[in-house]
Amino acid sequence: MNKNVSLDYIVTLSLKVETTGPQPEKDKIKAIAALPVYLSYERDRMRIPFYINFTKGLTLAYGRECFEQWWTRLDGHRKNNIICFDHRIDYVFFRYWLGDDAFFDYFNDTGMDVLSVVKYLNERAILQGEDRPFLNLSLTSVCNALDIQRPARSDVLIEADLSMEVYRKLLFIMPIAENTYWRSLKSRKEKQLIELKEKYKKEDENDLRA
Amino acid sequence: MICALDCETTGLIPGRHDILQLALVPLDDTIEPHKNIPPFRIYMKPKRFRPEDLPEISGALIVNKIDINWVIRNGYTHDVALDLFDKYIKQYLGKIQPLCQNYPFDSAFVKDWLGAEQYAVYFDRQYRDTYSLANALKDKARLKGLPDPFPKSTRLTALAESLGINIGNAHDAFFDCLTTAAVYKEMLLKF
Repeated sequence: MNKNVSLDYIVTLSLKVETTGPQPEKDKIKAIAALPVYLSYERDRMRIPFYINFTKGLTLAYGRECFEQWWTRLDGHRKNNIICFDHRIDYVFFRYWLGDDAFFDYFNDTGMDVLSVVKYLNERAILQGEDRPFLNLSLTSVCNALDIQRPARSDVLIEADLSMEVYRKLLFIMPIAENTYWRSLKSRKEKQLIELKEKYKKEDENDLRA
Repeated sequence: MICALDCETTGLIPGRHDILQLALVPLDDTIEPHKNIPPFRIYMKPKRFRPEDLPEISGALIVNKIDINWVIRNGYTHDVALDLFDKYIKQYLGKIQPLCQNYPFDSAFVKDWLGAEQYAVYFDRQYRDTYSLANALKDKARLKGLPDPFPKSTRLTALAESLGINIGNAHDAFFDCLTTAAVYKEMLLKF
């Protein structure tokens, strides 16, 4: 797996899989959606999403073929650059569906999820003696807390879009901008920049003298 | 109960590769290792290992510095390990909420060992993932125009270094559990 891929070369897909249960060997995949996402966590509307519904007789093998074709049109010349993004990351069904080799070909092992951030925000609040911002961790409850409307009847594609919107909103409410650690990090960076400028200035002066 | 979880394996693909070393460190309310509950540490014989696979898995063994021959001689079989794990959980813990560095990786290997049904008996659906969280903090910084908090990488060693944590013995499951817990705690306090 490629360990150090720059974000600029990665396609983030908000992925959603709906199944009949938790075990790939026993349960069936009902539908899969993949939604290309900008780095700003907005939906990339220039690229067509992937959606397949297996409940009406399509086989998993046909679905794989469709995904491969879709991926080839989307960004197929680069492999290993899909970042999986979901409310709760669980690759098990994707691995089962695509097969191990194909899965590890497509996917970068970086994963983003809503749940980790929500838990983090709750625990951070508790450590600081504040109330938990999220009383329940289900996607519906998180949506309610963030004032995002979750449609009563939704499918995987809508859910993928929703997870991304929730994540984007969570990033904006993460209260870290005024934190002293960030300020010290910023001032350290600024100090480094000033030192670098002074160094170049001195080098220029020396060059001029010479 | 929140427990830091880590496993060292013979490779990256669960179902094809096996767990060699597994550690579980129960944490208290302040995300410190629990004083009254011992950690669970175990070496497990790889059940799918064949000597001809050695070139394929040598990369993983270089990373985790595990002597596979020693594990084959001294490690527990998967079934015995499962018994020990079961006894440990029943004696000390209820449902485990895992804290991992890259949850999908560790959970997939543990699921492969325990089976999905048994996994659901021991482990809660809620988890914490420092890897995913570090990426979210990077995202946040990028969107806000703040400096990157983890410029080197979001791997465990790099995270620990960025946050001034030095527990050592990277890629030993037990020490990686301690580092993951310390990283998570620092993330809660610093950001």
